[in-house]
Amino acid sequence: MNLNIFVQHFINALSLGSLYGLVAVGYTMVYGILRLINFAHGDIFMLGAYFVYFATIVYKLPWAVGVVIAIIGTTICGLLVDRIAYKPLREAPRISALISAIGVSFFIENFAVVVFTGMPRPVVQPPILMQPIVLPGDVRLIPLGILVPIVAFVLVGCLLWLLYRTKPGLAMRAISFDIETTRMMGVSVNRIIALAFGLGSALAAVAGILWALRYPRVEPFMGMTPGIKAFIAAVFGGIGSVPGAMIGGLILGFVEIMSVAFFPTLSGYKDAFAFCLLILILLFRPTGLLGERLEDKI
Amino acid sequence: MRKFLTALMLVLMLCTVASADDVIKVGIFNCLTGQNAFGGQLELEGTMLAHTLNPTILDKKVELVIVDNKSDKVEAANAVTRLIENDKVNAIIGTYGSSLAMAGGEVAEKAGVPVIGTSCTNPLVTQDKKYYFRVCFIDPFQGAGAATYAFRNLGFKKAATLVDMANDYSVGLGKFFRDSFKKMGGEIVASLFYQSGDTDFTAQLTALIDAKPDIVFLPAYFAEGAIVLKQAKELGATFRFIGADAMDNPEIVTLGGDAVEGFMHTTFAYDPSMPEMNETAKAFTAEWNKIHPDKAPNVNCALGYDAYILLKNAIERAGSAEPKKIRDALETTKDLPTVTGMTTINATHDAEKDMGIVEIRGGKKTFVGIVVPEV
Amino acid sequence: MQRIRNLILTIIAVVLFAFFLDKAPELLNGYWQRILNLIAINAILALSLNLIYGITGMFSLGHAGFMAIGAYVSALLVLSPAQKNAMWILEDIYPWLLNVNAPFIASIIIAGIVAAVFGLIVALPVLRLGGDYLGIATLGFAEIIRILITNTARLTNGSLGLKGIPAYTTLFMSWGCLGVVLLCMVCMLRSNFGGVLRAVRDDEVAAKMMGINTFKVKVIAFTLGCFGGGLGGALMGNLITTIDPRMFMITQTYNILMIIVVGGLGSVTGSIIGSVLVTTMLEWLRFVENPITIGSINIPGIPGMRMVIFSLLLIIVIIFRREGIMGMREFSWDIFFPKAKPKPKHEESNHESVLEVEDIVLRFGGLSAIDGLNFRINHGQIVGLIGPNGAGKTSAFNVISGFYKPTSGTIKFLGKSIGGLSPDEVCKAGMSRTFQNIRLFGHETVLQNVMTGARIRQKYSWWMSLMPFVFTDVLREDSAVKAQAMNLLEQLGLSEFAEEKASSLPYGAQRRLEIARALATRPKLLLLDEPAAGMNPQESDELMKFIRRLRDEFDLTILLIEHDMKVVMNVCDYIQVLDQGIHIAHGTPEEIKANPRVIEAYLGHEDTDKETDRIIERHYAKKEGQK
Repeated sequence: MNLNIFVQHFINALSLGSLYGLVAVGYTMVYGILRLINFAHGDIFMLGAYFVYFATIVYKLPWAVGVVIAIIGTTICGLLVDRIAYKPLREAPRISALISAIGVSFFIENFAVVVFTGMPRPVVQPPILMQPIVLPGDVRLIPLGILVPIVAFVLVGCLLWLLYRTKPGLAMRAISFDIETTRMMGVSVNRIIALAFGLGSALAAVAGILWALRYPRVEPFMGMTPGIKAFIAAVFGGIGSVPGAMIGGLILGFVEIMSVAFFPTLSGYKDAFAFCLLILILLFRPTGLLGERLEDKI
Repeated sequence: MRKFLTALMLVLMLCTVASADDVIKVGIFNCLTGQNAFGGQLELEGTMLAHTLNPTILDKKVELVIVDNKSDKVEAANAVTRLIENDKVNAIIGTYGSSLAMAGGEVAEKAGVPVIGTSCTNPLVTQDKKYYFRVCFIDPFQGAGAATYAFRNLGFKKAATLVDMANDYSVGLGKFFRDSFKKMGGEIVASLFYQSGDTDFTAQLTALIDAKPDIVFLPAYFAEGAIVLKQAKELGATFRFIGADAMDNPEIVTLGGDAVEGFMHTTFAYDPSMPEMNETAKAFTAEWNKIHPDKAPNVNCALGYDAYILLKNAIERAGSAEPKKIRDALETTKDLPTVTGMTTINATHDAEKDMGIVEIRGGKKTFVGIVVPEV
Repeated sequence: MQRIRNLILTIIAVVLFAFFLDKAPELLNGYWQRILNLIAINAILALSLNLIYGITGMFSLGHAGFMAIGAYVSALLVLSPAQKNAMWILEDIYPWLLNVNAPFIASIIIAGIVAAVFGLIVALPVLRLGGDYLGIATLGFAEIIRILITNTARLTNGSLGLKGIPAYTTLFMSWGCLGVVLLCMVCMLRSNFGGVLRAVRDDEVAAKMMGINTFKVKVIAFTLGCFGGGLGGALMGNLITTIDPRMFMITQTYNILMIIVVGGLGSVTGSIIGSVLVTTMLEWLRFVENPITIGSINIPGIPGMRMVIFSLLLIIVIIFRREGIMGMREFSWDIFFPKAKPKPKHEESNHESVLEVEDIVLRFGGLSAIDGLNFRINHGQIVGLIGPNGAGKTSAFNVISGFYKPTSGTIKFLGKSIGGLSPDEVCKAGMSRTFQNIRLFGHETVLQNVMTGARIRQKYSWWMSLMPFVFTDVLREDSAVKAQAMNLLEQLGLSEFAEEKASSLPYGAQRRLEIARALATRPKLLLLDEPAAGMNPQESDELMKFIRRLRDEFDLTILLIEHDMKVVMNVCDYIQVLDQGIHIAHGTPEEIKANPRVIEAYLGHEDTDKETDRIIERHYAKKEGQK
């Protein structure tokens, strides 16, 4: 492998990793506050991509309008999911909410099959984002590949600002610490949780849109693999930690790309590499890279 | 009074017997949902078109019983059991996806009900099976066809493969392609893998660019294939791609845009763009366009259609809809005109038919010609 | 009487069902037979996952991987060499594999064992993880297994999978296997070992203090669960007759998880009801995908509709009956009969120095929690450990009982050094304790809580509990322990609550139950952490009498932490005082009352931190348990 090829791999990994990170941030956001592994996150992500498809391909709206519609629409769907399937289970054991999440995931996927059919659909890619920039050494970079990490980092920055510098952010962190006490402090817990869910869904929508742009195909099951991958990425970084999710996503992206780059004959084992690394990390840091350490309180 | 009732009962019973005898029940199990839904749905539409055009066989009404197998093996076995046990079908058509066909085939084999596979191309599907047939050719034949075309017709000497490790169809074709290509004297410079569900192929493609092949064999499903081609273009890959029948879908151009330009794939000898279409194919295309004016037919539709035609022919020759007799008749099918060319069922129950090559030219699927694989 | 009656009823039910299975081929068509088979297999899978998750409380998402191992092992063993030869069309099969063969029954047992071995390999590293992290790690292992199967084509035929597996899974086979699994599991869960499993789920820390090596228990439960997964997978392969790696994706695990949650997490009956419901529901709902004619309206079939309705039903069940159909309850014939009450029976060392603590230092990072603690306790003494909040009292308890390792210093218990022993080993050495925030096994009965404490004195191994009718030691020891536990409850005035859930007891009784449970381990030294917390003056008066009685009746030595000075001064023979980790004073109650340093320490700090402490505590309790 020469240097040019390596640089190309590096760029590919950065682009893939930041996409994983973006999906993972939404995952971790909901987890951090509700301790709920939202298995439906990948499917909400899929809805975001479908909204863009409908807005741009079916209704031929301008691309930017499509993005706004998709974010709003997906957020509403996310809030509905929370209201219908999770809110009644706030006081229930966590497994109930988890199974409800699996149910929601099945529902959204199959509902999409019924409504949209199983046929993969194309997505409009704005040419300005897709025209490759040829760097020295024939390394190619598409503008979207730069846009994805930028959007991801900006969003993570905004999110951190929101969590650590604003009142609702404070309330969110308080809820993740102790929901009962927060409620007693006069915080409208359900509103804050809905806000967190809305944010998580909006993030899923952004990720879904960027994903659909990068890999221009939408189908009902497109959220499954990214959903699981993002879950891994979130755990890598320490589930519940926003910067952790981003770092986890990047690590996952790099592991996947670099394992193929350095061991092309073992490319069939690509996902196994990622999982092995995950388990190794957990063995040495049982709560992920940036996860909070928990001591047994006796 | 009692006599009257008995008589009435008798009449009723006779009626039901007669009506049961008047109907030929054909079961369809295909993947209408799940990961392979895009293929199964097209095949179902083809079969349904054939049924609409031929609603009766031997003057008996044909009733289609449609069951979804969810692209899942357990479900496939359940679906076939249900067709045989609950609906008492005379014969079954299906399915897209070889592993699903294998699961269903075991059940049908035991019950002695003939099944006609649509596009399950793995050699194992009909291996040791008395009751499983198919209207498609098989993977070794197709892999060899792609290799022959690349090596002989296009004159490429260095090839590589990019294979979906988790997909039996893809793994099999990749292997058969490599074997044939090497046998003809070509060189395989790289053999890379991905997993179903992947969307990012940049790592594999960059590694391929590094290996500098003339042509890459990509036995993928069309939805994945289109994305691979797109990313290859973004990365500035200069080699060409050749695929197989699963890439044959009208949507590939919509999905891949200009990135699929110049992409070739082997397929069954049918395409709406074919210059010299046989009579059956002409009729099929015309009827299809009447029902689906907004959607061009593809080989999956044609194979779904052909499966029904093959079954109809067998029942007519057998003169009966009894499963055993249908089976025997199917076995002796020879030179039956179907949409995808002349169909002959060989000793291993596979269809022997011509293989076509399609290339995307000017954003349109273009039928290039027939290739004769050097097996 | 009651037991004999129930046994007879069970036997009748089993015989009737066997008769039904025998006649099933005539009564039911192949389709319904297949569904019956699937129900049994799903039930086996659900029971095994329930053992791991519902009963022992380990969140595992790896079941599909163990199923895959089982299915492949069994299939490779039952396929004939000729079939194997024909099937490996892409790569050559390993020659040694070609002729490996075993009869079906042996093959499914081997399948279970291989899955269990893999389970053990997985369990040893990952069971140290808790909660969701364990879930993702097991999911990772399942995926790795699947990827390995896909990539090792010479062994497994890769993504082509295996086909033509003989259909050995008959109704008798699947239901027979379910019967055996069920019998073993019910026996185990009824034995005291089953109680231990549930104790680990309810409160791992407290279980450790009962002398239970919780890690070992978890590894056993996980490995047994994996055996069940492998067995289920093997039966599944022999029913479907063809397998490939894609059958064993994460959705397969979701399906099983769904069954156990719908049925009731932790309930054996629930798992079976769940698998009947989920399996038949999925099939029955097929009608919505067929064209429906209502009167003259013709609704065309919609593919995918079935799963939409199914997932909706699932969500509705969870929302309106979150604990599942059975909750944690089990089916019992007793529900058909009026209740009869059980009757209890009767039961009962000497070192000068029981505990010697020398120069104990405990540091967390730079913070020292204890800085040089020295004291000794003689046999029969009641010693108080007091000090203001944050003085390091509970830390001292945690060091003595083995939860924390001291940074330096030695602890001698009954003349032997116990520094570095784990809590369960300390407990086995003869020390037991209670906790500041009561830690009972809340879902268990009062009796079961106490019996868990007696598990360390039982000699039978966990595997014997699977077959109690062969190893009658299990039954004998369990009934002895039960009698002793009843006796203990009577002595502590708790016998009226014996069959009630521990969490439903009034506060004072919960405190006493925690002590009863500690006593069941037959300790020489009992550590009590704030026994009077939350009691009114009248209750604490009773507590004082109770503590003295304990010492006399059970020949105990007692070390207690207490804030209630009245209790401390009245009950203790000797007092040790800590302040900010420093051992500032010791002496008789009179000496302590007069010690100016003690007074200063108490007045100098105020109890403002208490509220913060409470919040932090709850936070941890929540993260740890979710229960």
